[in-house]
Amino acid sequence: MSQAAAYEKWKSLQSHWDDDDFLKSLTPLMRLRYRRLDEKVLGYFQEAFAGQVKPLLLDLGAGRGEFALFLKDAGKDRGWDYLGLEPSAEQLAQRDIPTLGLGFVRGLAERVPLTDMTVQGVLVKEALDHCFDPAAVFQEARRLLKPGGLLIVTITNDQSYFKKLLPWVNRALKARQTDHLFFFGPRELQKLAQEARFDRVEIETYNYLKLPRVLERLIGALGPRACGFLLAATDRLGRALLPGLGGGLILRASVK
Amino acid sequence: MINPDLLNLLICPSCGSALRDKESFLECTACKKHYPVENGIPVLMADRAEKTKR
Repeated sequence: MSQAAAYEKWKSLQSHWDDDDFLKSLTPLMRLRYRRLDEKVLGYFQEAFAGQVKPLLLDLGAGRGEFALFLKDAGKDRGWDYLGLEPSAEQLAQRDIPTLGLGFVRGLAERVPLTDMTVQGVLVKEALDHCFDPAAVFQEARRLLKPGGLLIVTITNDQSYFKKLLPWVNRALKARQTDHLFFFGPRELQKLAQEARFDRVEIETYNYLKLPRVLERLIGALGPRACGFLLAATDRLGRALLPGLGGGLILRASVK
Repeated sequence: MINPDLLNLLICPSCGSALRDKESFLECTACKKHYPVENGIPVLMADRAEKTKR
């Protein structure tokens, strides 16, 4: 999709942005996957922020504040500063969280209204595929990060093993995901980070367990502990046997 | 009233200059564009700016 076409499509989506249906459709197993992803992201930022006083984490495409809520639950609202940036008025209106850190600003991830080198961490969680200019998002993250800062991007992997095995299912899924402007595999993410001049880039895949929804519901009934074990075991196995082909990608890009 | 720590970080999305708090809106100190503050949230999108003085 061309830049101009992506922007026009993005604009057309803004007036009726709504992820209620998606959130309601999540199975317990899917909720657990997101929870585990939040925990992993938190761990990486904790490592990067070690020893820093009140580091500022910028959440690009913050939606209705899901990660802010997770941070509050994790007790990070006291030690970290948080700022959420979100273009959708509808999403911001639905946020149901107490004010956290510096709160929220309505704006574009492609043109972040913040001074250069002011944040220690940037998170783009499941949001890059909704942006009309992903390259600009990486460049903005690079501009905003202080030396030693860390960018984390999490996104669905367009090159997962099950999408390769079942290309017609992937095509049908894509047709339904009308709010996704772009799709990414590990190579595309790597290229974006390198073009934005990040000094160190690491990409990992996760979410190797992919089953029909009815089976996922059954497995979800086993409870969070058993499901957590299953997800961790399949990820370990998947990374060993099918590197780069999990259902989700986590990119970590840092600045010296 | 915008949190002063936040205001210190914010810039005009049109020209990149500092902003000043005018209670119900933020004003760019250079290009003088105005940005609304809706329900306490600054709306810093270039297409929402107003050039006219209030």
